[in-house]
Amino acid sequence: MNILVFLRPILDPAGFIVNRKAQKVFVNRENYILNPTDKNALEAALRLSDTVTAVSIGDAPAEDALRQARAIGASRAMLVRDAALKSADASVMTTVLQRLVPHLDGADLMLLGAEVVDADLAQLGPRLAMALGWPFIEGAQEIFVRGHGVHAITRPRASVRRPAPAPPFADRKKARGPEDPALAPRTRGGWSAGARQTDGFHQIEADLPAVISVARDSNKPRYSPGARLVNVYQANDVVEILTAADLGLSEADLAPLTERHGESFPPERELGKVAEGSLDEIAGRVMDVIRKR
Amino acid sequence: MDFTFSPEHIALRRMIHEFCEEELRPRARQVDRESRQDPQVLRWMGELGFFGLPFSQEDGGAGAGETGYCILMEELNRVCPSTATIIGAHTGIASMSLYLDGSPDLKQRYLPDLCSGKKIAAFGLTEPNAGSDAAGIQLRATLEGDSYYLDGQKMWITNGPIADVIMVLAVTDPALGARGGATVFVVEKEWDGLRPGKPEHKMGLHGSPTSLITFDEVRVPKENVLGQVGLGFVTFMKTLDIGRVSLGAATLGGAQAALEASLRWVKARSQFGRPIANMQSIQFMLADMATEIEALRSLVYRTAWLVDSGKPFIKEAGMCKLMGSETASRCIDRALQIHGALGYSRDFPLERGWRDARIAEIFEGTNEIQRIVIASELLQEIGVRIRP
Repeated sequence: MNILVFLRPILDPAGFIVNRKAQKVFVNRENYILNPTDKNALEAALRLSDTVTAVSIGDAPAEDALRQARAIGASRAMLVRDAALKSADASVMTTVLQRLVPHLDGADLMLLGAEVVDADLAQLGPRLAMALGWPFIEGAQEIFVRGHGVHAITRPRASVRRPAPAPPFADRKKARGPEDPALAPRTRGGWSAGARQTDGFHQIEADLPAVISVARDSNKPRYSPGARLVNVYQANDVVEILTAADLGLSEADLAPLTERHGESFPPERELGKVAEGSLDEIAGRVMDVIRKR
Repeated sequence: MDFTFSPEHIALRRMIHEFCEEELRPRARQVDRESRQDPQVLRWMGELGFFGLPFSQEDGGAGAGETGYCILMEELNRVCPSTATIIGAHTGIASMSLYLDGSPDLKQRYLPDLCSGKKIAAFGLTEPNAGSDAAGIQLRATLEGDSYYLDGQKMWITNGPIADVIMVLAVTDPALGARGGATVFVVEKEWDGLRPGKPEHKMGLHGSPTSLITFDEVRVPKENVLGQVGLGFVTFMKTLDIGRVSLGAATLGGAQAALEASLRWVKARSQFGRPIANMQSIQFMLADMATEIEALRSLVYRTAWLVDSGKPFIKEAGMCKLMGSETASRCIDRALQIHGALGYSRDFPLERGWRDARIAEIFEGTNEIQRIVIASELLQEIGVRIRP
């Protein structure tokens, strides 16, 4: 079974120092770490298969993330590196990955972390599933593969999203309701996937190939053995590199839809006040505050 | 001149750092209190290659060199000095002696299991009457047929109670003594007549068991002679030379931990209406600590580079151990002062750090011996020979 795992390097959160007074954030732009939830995705993949390909988009930090993945156990690593991808947003990344999958002769499963520490958008999974026309399961705690289907255990909040023709998030609210037909007897085949609740978890079933985002702390990622790590970092050929042109992507494909305009700080929270007096007086003061709001 | 670590060493540090923070830090206090590291944690570290980190991959190691090994010791000792000491004795000196001077056959028989941590090793040099005067060893090895018989005692043996394999320096020719008449033997724990004593009650490093080992007519086959008969003292001294570099790295980790704890504390603790970070007396202590630590870091990793590049390093190795152990003691003592009474409390990790650090001025050659080593190397450079 071929599994692709998408990895995102992020700036080390320990390197952020916030100065509220000056309204500035000092960022150490030298230290990157592997997005923690992506490590869970890689671990889930390695537990399912021996043929795991790690993929990433970006330059040096992305290449390092892929080297780490090779050291941890991925059998192949594929980097899409292109100057034009410098300001890639989720829509561009979706396009790149959508092209990359057939370039790698397809895959049975695409895993990625359910959340990204930096922007916390969590939109790449559903977008990619839509683009590929594969089912998507969000926030898997555990994944089993049986025959041509995949089962995932998720928390109840997770939902199965159907790709086209329905608009991306139209059935989101519905899927959570107990009277939702998806929670009734499971339907299979085609694009649909069903869910049923077991002891506070959903067991969701989908046809392969599928995109699954893996929940944080759903497993314990393994460490890379020292010797493997040394070899991976000394070798030149452990990460294969593709350009946008290799994937047949045009300049228009790589134009981001979003732009970053800067940072702003939420207002500082005011500290609470201590109310004094008799019980009735205190209750009265609390009521006054509530009424004013 | 380029002071950057290679990509593999950066990646190695990241992996080790994460392991130490995630797996060792939550257990460090318990290791000290219960005087025992969980064997499963040791096995885990073995699987990750920690036990054979500096050795070549052909010998079963990870191939990370002395620099990689120094990174390991720094990171381990920053979090759990007991665990660092178990690996330090096992890898840095015991397995190192086999790696440096063992025959291909002997290496093949023992090194893979030592590198993977399946077997734990100890370094048997010190005796009740031979500490700083290492040449004064008395443990006797007598040749009979094709076996040697070992009789005597080794003392203060790190890993003594848990070792499966012990590298033992014994006198094979009393007329020549240690210089020319001593030989290293690879001895297995199960062999008849070998008895490890009870773990000593030490001031610190409680999780690293230390004991006496008694040898009573222990039969050792000739094939288990490490290096050449009669040249064992040279093997052991050479091993200790290289061991001082990684010991210096370990002390660097201890000092670094003290600085980090202090930096967290001075921000959190307020006196006279403001964080104590604002007091110049505190600032000066922090500045001194950081300066000494930075100097030590440069010395340690430059010396590791000397080792990895095959350049002479004996003088610098002695300096690593000497400066490292004193810097660590001083920094941890200052950190304790900064923490005030809380630093003295057993509920705070500094007290353990303070107890754990002191031994580095004593073991693997006291600091007095280090000064002799450094001076003799210095004087040799101008043609004066002071070492016997």
